[in-house]
Amino acid sequence: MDSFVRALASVDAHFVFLVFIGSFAGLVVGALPGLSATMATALLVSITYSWNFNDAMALILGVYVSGVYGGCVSAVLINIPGAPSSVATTFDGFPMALKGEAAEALWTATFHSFTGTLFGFLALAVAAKPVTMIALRFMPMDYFLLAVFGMLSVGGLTSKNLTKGCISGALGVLLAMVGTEQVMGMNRYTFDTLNLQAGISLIPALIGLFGFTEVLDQISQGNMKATATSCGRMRRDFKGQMKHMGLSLRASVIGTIVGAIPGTGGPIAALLAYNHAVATVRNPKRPFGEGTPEGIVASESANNACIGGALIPLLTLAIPGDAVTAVILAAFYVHGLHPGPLLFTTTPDLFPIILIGGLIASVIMLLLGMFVVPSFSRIVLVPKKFLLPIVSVFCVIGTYAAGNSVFEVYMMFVFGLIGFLMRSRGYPVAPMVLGLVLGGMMDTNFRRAMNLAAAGDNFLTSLFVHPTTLVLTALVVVTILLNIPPVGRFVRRKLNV
Amino acid sequence: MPFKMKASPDVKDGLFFVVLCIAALFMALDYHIPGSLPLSPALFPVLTSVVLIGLSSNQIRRAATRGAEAAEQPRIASKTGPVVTIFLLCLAYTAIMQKVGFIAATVPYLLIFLLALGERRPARVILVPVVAAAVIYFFFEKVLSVALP
Repeated sequence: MDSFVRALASVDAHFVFLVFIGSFAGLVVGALPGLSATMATALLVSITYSWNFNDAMALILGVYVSGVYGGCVSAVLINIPGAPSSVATTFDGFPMALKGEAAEALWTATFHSFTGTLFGFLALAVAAKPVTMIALRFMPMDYFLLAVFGMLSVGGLTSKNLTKGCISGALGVLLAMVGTEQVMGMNRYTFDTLNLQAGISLIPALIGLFGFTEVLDQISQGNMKATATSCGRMRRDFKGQMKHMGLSLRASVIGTIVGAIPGTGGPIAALLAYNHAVATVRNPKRPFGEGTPEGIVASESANNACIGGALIPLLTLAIPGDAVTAVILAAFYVHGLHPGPLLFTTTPDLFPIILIGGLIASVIMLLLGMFVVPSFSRIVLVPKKFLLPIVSVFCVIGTYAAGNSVFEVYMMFVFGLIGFLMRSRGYPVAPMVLGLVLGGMMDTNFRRAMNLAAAGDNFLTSLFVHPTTLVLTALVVVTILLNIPPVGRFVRRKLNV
Repeated sequence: MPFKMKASPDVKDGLFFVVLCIAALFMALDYHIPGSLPLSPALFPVLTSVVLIGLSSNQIRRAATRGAEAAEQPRIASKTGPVVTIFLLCLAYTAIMQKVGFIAATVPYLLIFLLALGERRPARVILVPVVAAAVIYFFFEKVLSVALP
């Protein structure tokens, strides 16, 4: 308690101003397709390494919180997630914008991003150690099963045809095999090309599959008029949003738990929460995927709650929960701090400063969302024939800026073409991205699990002896069964859904 | 059970994926290190390829048994010509940008892009590329300190 009082006393106007600057920068970076909060945080680490730690953390937390939130702006307005964790926001956000409800979609995203962030940081404060203890018990097989469960959920979620969704996910996993593998150090599918030895970078794949695909898709449709007629004025209806608080809290719980499991992060949290909303919301405003606010509530609450969740293993175990926290971990080391259980005893003021900085960042994010974001909506009024060439330049520059490599720009074009062909054939691209993100982790953990099981007395019992493994296996089996049409129909009939 | 294989895109896609995955499977077999199967670098790519072959076969089976008419109708691109043109333009833009720099490559690229999309008003065709290239350059190079070509 003393450390909280001391930390509060150290918070002054300078600290709040730095959080504001970071938040504004995070919003811009998050809203622009191709620029990520990870990239901005990495740039900030190099800029702030000589600052005192509190100031550096103020700026970085601002970028982190608003960078995750900012992804929803382009997701709603131009159907391109500004950050990977906003993928699920496009499902209902963009259809709402097309119906002339962009302002309502953005307000819903803003309010529930705020509640999600708040929940995540409160969870960090209250439940850091218990949640970490659960995550610590995860065995390699559990990580593998969690990834399989995530991909099955996304595959069934983003396509009417589970087979097509799974094909897309499995192709992503196969693409993740490209490069030098981590266990034995062998090059796989590199074709003796130096550029492929580090594997397929995520940024060109993301920008290609979501950004450049959108450009090609819009051109193929030939309609060059504005995406939406008008955004309209943002009605900041707090009361209207309160009716979604139940879903928002449930999605925040999902986001916090998923965020606390290293290697998962915002995209999987948002997609799982969206899936949860599809399964549990009885009377949505419209069917999911056709522009219902409940889809945005689930996605944005979960991906922002992930922030607090991801900080739990980072602070207590020095394990980053996602890419941005990996960069923040580097920032700790740059400032001579070593996170882990000792962080709380050696530097007790640090934990409250991060909590307070995060809470201030979430309030500033809400204010920016209320008063600054509506002006971003002018993008939708620009005719596509002006917007698409500029988006294509952002795709090229965003890819180039992340890796300083022209090869990655060409790779982005290839992914754009793949995404375009997949879309035109009815294959969802989101499972492919998830496969690409989780493929390496799945490979490593699957082989570790097999190795552990092979060393045991009985292969099967060694593999499935842990309660978490059994629960996750059951989830995977149930997901597969529910996506078999006759079984799904039978269950829905029995449950009267 | 009548099989109606004619022109179902799902069948064609499935066959393409089967061929692709058989190639990936044979390549993966080369990555096997004798001695320890659980830790073999070939294990997971082989498993993924086999799963993909199974999924693709399932897709072919479903499309074939339902018939081409009943299969899920894919949304075929209505205009492939402009897509090919713009894709080639983007490739050329990236190649030229390396040689002449961001501004010198982006202004003509945007100009040609706008003309290709049907914009004919001279003021907009000239102003939009110049202003957009300048603003993007300033934002990335000066504000974000991102080095552009």
